[in-house]
Amino acid sequence: MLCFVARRIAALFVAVLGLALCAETTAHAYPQWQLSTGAARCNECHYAPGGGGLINGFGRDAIGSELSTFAGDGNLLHGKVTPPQWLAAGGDFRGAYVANGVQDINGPVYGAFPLQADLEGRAALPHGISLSATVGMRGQARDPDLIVPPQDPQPSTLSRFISREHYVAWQPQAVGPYLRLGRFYAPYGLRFAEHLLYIRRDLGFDLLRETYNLSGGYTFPAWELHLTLFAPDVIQRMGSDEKGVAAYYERRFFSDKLAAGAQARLADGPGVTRLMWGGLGKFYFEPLRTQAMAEIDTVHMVFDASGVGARTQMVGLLGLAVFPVRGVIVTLLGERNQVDVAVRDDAWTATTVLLNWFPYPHVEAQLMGRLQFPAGTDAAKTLFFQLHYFL
Amino acid sequence: MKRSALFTVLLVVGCSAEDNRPAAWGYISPAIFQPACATSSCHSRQVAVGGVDFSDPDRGYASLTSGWFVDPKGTAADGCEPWADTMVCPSRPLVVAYNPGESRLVNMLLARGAARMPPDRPLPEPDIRLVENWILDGARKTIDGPPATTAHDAGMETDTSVDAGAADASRSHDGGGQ
Repeated sequence: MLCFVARRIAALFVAVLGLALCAETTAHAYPQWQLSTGAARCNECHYAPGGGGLINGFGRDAIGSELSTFAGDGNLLHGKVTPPQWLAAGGDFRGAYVANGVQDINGPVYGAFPLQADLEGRAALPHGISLSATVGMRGQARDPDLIVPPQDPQPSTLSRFISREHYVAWQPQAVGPYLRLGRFYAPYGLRFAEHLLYIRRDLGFDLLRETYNLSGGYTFPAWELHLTLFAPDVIQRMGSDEKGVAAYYERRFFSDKLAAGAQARLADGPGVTRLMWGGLGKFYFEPLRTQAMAEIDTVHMVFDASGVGARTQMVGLLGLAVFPVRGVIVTLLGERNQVDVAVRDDAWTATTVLLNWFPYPHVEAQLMGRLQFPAGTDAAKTLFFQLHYFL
Repeated sequence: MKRSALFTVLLVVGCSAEDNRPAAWGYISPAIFQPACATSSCHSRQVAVGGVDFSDPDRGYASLTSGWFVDPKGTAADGCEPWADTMVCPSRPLVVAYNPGESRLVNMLLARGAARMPPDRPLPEPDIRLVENWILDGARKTIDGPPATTAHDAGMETDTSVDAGAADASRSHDGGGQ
């Protein structure tokens, strides 16, 4: 009996780690490539006005001819299938291996598991209108018997079928105004794929936290503005519980070698209303093939409970991305999540190394090493490897 | 001007070693447990691993104090009862008022004879200490509310209808109400 329980706990532990630490989404992209590739706007390579998700023809050409170590055909199914002009399709499939140590009594945890299986589609309609959606399976590696959705409005088996994004968009030109209605992440800050980074996880953009939004803005060569009204996922109750408004503005300078952004977000969630604001910067230094990135956000929290005063949190990231050879990105990141700015030791500090290799179009291998230092307690050490294939 | 700006930054970031935060569930839930534990694959409303749901203060409090957990394989011989399409089983609550040492929650946060939680990043020590202080103060749901009582404290092991009600409250869509 004890062995049975131990096995179940071990299985749960591996699964939780796999999902909590490592799962990635297609809704984000590679901010390392903005500026460094000469593409200043995210939607030069992605259909979505704020970037992320399905890549367009320009993005497929870039991955085929410039961004992979060995050139090839970046088009859908390596160019073997040509969909009609009005239809774009894609898919993401990932598998991963993780080793994690948190000074636990059970020792380090190791596990290999499927990470993602999503299909993506976009249908272009007349007058600049389009419909986009992803459908897929939530990366559930956990023992199904341990999934208990006591407040769940639907069986957990159904909850594994998900649609991270689905929206209708109006954008008559690649540059200019746009409107979007549906489920996606509101544009905000540096949109790394790694949801475990503090600027994503702790600011409302963790895995599967997409909200339902009405978003609009402008994308121009030199600047872009995104305004979003957002609400919780009331359909699957899988995503965020927050409702509010978000804004992101970015301007580029010096022949698109420098980008500076400002963002704000007001989110009313369970037990707390969070007003966050911050800024980011990116600078690509061509001679060293290096891009510097930084983001900092202040979060002012007002609690619903009586007798609990407002508190302030700060979250920041500093990073360097180096492109030593074609198809390889080495990213070094330092992070700080100061849970409360008035309490000096109440913080996590982390350092992360990411090695992304795109040997051929459609294929990516990523190795990540991450050290997290919660103040006053044991460090968390994570080694993560994933293989990614996209259609 | 520059020196003044630098001073302001230093003042804002880590100005005190003292923890002046309230040891109150109304702070602990939204500032610590919801961001660290209620991730979509763990103790979210949808998944609620182990029947523990930290997605909002009401559900989180009920999860910690109800003394029941959901186990689809639980049997009547173990004292479990059917609820909806699953089984709920009696368990020692995760939090024992006034006694952090006996609270499984604290033992998991410290990896003290229990698997570490959260499994991906331990909480900073000040946050764990705040949780301990909250329990020492009676693990109240509200600052001026009564201390936590559990099904077992109330001698409800024999009164299953009340227990089932407590379990029900912990999983109703409206939560327990604050």
